[in-house]
Amino acid sequence: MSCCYSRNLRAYFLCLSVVLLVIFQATPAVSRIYIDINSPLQKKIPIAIPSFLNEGGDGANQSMGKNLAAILNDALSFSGLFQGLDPAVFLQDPEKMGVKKAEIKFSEWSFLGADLLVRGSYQIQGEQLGLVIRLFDVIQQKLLLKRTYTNDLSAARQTILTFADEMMLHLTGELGIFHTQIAFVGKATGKKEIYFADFDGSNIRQITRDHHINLSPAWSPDGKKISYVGYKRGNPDLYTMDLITKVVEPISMRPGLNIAPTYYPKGGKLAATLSFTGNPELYLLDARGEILKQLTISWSIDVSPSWSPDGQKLAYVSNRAGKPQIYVLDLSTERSTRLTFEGDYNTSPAWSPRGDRILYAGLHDGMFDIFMINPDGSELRQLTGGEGNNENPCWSPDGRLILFQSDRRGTLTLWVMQANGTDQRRLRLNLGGSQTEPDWSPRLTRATP
Amino acid sequence: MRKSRAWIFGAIMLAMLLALGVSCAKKQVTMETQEMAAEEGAAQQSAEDEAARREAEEARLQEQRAREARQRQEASSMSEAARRAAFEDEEIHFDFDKYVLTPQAMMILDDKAAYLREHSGVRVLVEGHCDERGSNEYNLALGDRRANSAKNYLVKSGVAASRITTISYGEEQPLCMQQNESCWSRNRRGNFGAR
Repeated sequence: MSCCYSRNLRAYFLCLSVVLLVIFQATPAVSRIYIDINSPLQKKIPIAIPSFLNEGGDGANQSMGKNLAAILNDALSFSGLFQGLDPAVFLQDPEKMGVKKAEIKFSEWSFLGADLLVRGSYQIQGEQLGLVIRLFDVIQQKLLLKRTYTNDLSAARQTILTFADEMMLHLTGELGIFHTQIAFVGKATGKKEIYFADFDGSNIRQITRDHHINLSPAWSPDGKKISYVGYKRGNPDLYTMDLITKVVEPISMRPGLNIAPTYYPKGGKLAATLSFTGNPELYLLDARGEILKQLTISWSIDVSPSWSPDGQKLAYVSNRAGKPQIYVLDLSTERSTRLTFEGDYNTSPAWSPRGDRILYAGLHDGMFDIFMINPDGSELRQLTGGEGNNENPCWSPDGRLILFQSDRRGTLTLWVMQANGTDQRRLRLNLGGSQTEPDWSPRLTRATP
Repeated sequence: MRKSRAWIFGAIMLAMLLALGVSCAKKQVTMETQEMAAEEGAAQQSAEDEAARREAEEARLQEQRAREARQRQEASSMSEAARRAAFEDEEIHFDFDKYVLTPQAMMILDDKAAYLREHSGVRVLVEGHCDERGSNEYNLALGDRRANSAKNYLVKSGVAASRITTISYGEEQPLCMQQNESCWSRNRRGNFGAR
């Protein structure tokens, strides 16, 4: 068993110590040192989360502590960075185990292979839930993080997810994705409507009820609005819904196409494809749909813009060379350069939140798959293959996960994978009909409808 | 002595070179003959092809004329409602990822243009559709171009642009759902609605 101790963990815990030292010295948060997403050899961090300890109060029940631990375990496992250990193998009875550092038997946890341990306790008073959660480094036998929360009992999941985000911030220098939503097009009613779900597919809500075709949902960067394409007035028009007031307003109802909305990363403006001239071209619109600028002028189709995170460039699809390919428009020089040269049919570019990668869907041996390329055209990599058609990729706001649609099980459903293409799994959406065109929200500070 | 040896050597070399040159030339002549023969054959082939093309074109025109005559005849006997239904029912089809009109689509559009010229009060909605392959957004754009290809053809055939509106449904309204070429080719279409 001693090999468990020595498998390269010393090295990255040495790194961890360095990072922690840096963080404790109150310098700006350092990311991607402890957890390097670009490392192809990145291993999941084994973490033990025993059932939370009941510290008295009203209405305590056996399942509460187990549920709280399971919510945290599921969320951390979803991130792809952690491997939650099976509670069945735990050596200690969580009910008899202390919560403070002095009470933790670190050797037993490291014997099980855990690198991290989360120990939580709870107390219920009326409708209030009190939580104290500690994160320990098992190998260094150190308390890394302690948080105390008092919140509505009904918001228990949100409170646990807040801890998960703080834990990610502590370990990686960046918040997690545990307060994000996924917008997508669902056909459960027989018509394509816009739906929302939590990051993990739970908490599904139908957003439009037009009984018409709705497509291409796009979050505003502040997470307060969603723009989409709707046919309810008999033409593909652009609409924006204010998620606080629920008011829907048409923003572009020009003749022809009003499609493919994408918000400028700093907000206020969006890029979209309009075809009122008779040809689909890219335009820059203000939030009310007024044209600020025409971005492409060609005889060909120009569609599906995706901004670089600095807002300086747009990746988009054009068939100006005969077949759809990905191009990059530099807004300062107003020049477009072709990005993709492999394959005859490449669409749906998605620029990564860090700016270093562009995803797209490409036709390859008769099937669509997700590819990743650097913005300078180097390092082309295929992320999916041999499993149905995989299209419409989008990034999680931390750039660690990729969400896409796949027909590998028949009906089109949403799937998630790590940014390096590993760990492909179906998003657990308890909803019938096809699911397509996902868009991942930014981190949200308040709950959306 | 040395000099004359050199001369002899030179002469031999020259003779060899000449011999080589002649044999090369000979080979060249044979090759040229072959090439000429091939070219002759090709020319003949292309003449035959051309004739076949002309024949096919002639056949197509004849078919079109026959069809137009038949339609005129049918039209005179058909009720107005039936003519309108025929106008709306006949779709045009497109090749994968293409919005150029096929010769067949043009023939169908000729009929529609004739109907519209005769019925100046009728307005038309042209719908552009695509098969399921490719992104929803790209297909919306492709459907838009398809509808506009049909519209532009009707305008060139003398129908006022103001009478024609277009809409793209991209891949959102397929006629059939199987994943094979015969189904996809049915879905890559232009539909026409009279109002």
